[in-house]
Amino acid sequence: MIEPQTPQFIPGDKGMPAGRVIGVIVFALAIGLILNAPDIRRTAERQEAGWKRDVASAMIQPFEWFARTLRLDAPHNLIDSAIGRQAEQSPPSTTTTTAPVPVATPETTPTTAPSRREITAADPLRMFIGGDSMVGQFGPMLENTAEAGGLVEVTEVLYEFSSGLTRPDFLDWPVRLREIREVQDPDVIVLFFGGNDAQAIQIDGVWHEFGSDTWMAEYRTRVGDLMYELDEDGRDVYWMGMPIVRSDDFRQKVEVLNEIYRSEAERFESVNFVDSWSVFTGADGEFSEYLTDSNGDLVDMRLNDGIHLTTAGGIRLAEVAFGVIAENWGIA
Amino acid sequence: MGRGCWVRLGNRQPIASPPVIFPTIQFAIFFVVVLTANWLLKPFPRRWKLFMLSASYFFYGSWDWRFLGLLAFTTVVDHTVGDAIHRTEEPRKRRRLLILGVVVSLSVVAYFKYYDFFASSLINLFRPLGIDLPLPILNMILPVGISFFTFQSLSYTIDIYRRKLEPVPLLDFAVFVSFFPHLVAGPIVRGSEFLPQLKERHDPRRVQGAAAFGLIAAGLFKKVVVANTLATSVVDPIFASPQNFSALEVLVGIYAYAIQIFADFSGYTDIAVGLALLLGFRFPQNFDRPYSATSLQDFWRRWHMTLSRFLRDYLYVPLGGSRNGRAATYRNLMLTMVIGGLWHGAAWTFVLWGALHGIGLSIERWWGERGDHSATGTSLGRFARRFLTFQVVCLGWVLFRSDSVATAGTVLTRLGEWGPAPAVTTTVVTLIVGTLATQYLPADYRLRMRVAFSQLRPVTMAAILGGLLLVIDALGSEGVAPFIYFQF
Repeated sequence: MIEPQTPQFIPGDKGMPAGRVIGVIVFALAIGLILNAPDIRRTAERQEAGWKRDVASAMIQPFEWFARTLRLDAPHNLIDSAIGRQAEQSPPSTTTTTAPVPVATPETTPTTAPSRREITAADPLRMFIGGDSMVGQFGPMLENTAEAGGLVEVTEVLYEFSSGLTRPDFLDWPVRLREIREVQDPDVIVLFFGGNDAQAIQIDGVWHEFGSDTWMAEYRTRVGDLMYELDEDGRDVYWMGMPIVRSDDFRQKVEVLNEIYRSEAERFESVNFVDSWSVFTGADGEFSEYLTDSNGDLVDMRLNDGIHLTTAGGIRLAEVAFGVIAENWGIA
Repeated sequence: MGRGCWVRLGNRQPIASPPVIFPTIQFAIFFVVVLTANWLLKPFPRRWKLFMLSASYFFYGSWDWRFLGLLAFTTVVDHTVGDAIHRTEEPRKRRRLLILGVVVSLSVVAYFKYYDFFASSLINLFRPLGIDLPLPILNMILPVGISFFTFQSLSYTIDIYRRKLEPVPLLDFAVFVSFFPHLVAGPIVRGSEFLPQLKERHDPRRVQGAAAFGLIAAGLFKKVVVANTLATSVVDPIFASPQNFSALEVLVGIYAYAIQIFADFSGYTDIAVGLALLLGFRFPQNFDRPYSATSLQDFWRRWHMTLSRFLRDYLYVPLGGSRNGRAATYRNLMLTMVIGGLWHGAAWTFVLWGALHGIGLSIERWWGERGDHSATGTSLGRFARRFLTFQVVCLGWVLFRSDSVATAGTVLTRLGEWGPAPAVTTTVVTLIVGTLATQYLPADYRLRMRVAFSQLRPVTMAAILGGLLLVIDALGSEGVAPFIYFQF
């Protein structure tokens, strides 16, 4: 075999002083920060609320101001347009993050059950699957499972990393779901949130820590509002609870989220809470990365982060979720 | 129906907050601070080593501080064993010490990386026989880069045993093992390559900035634009639900993965080599246009070269190499490649991937020992060999990428199901063809570009690099997925 060489040297290049190297790096980074400032600011704001997000957002602000003042963000927008990506035209509000279209949550529930028509191959059940990164493995597996019998058409599997219901400034799921309902008109909507929602909520410019009274009330309202809106619209909703996770700290937060999802879902006839937690517990009721699949084999169900699912985990949960949907709709 | 309709909004990846991932602003800030201190402290070797050790441990600890103890444990064990081997001249005692060091180091890897895999495999194997093996599943977290730093650390002990290396102080060894540019995904740098560089006087007036900038920019482009785009647009959907895609889409998906893994891993290596160069260190080459290989043997001379030579020197040769006849050579090739496959991950798909390469290398050897093959030396012959080699390598990548043997089977059977191919977009084809074309660029053409870049004024250099950051950010994903080889 050939011995690996060190090919990095350029013939004739005598190098440059370290100070100049650092200068080039700092200058290049500054140019990069200015030209990409709006994009980097969006990335910074996607981070979980906290000092890291605050510092990152504060650091990028002068670069963004400079870029916008001198229109140095134009090249980025031009490339965005050229490749068909939507360029941001104006800076978003960083003060108000409540849902843009408030929907009054009724005090008296449950509502009436959704009308469920007969499903045939000619007139299949239309299903939308959406949520955060938890949908990454689960969504395609539910699509496969559901479509296998020829009676379901999955209109779309849509997931966005770092999204959820705590951060409508980043992605406003209620608004997005309105657009989806209008265009796709699904009978069934499967939603999976929670992976990114154990973070602070901003209300009227003030951040409220996860678990505080204000946080609990606000998050419950957002979940309830969305369920109410979907219920009013006559959709059959399947709200996936979060599965048990490896980290003790995060597990406690997931339990809080699941309790909100479960209790809110109970208020609406058309909203079904699907328990994922127990789908991924071992014999001792604790987190288990390896679980028995439908063939009886022990299989790795969870990714190394102890939160997301492997493909096998996605299949396991998809079978549970579709079991509930199929029973409700009388699909064999 | 809903074939291929699933999407990630905005083509984004999970946000990578820790500086353990190179293409992030956090890492850029971390590196500028480290680079500045690096050159300020160079005249003071001990302070420099303490600083670099601290910086590297901070880098690794930013992912999960709990595994810093593991890194320190591996370092201390291999250093202690290396010292002990050096102090004794008695062959049997030296051998016993070496075995102790190898067993302890590999046990750590086995515990964290392979225990659950083998335990579950054994349970599944005996279950149909009605035997329930009482093996516990430990749910271990796989420490990032454990295979890389263990191999590097082990090479030191083995080289001392072979009298190719003199022991060094613990601080020097700890800096070598933890040096952050190569810590989590290589290249696998040997002690004999790195440790002498600690004694060199690095001239702060002659830093190889131009070469390093070129490597880092190329690596960022490969990772952020090429690898991430192919992953999200075609590879991930096809390998998640191959049954939903037509033959042409699956075929392009397989080729796209071949390009993705090359761009991802060689991109990481380029960045790592460039960062080391800025800090005054030289790393060995890890890739040399692997998809221009004319045989599998040639491929392994060009792909992950530092792993190839590690497996050759520390596994294939000790097994007997090609010294004990044809059958033993084939056996050694198979063992080396299967173990190499298992090194990549605890799954049967990796074992089969290694076996495929072992079989291929054995067939090539058998064929090479038979008579005259002058026809394969013609232009057409070379083209045919390159084409065939690439197809075999891509067949291997199907196993490598699939999350199970069953998925790999589905991917391959879909190659017979022809139909429309909307997933085959111009972008995907351009990235595949463009990257393949770079494998055939003449070496002197690339060299001329690097020379021209090195002759630019620093301000021009910075402006070009800043412009490249714009292109990379605009064309690539907003977040950055972890490098594929982090999991190994």
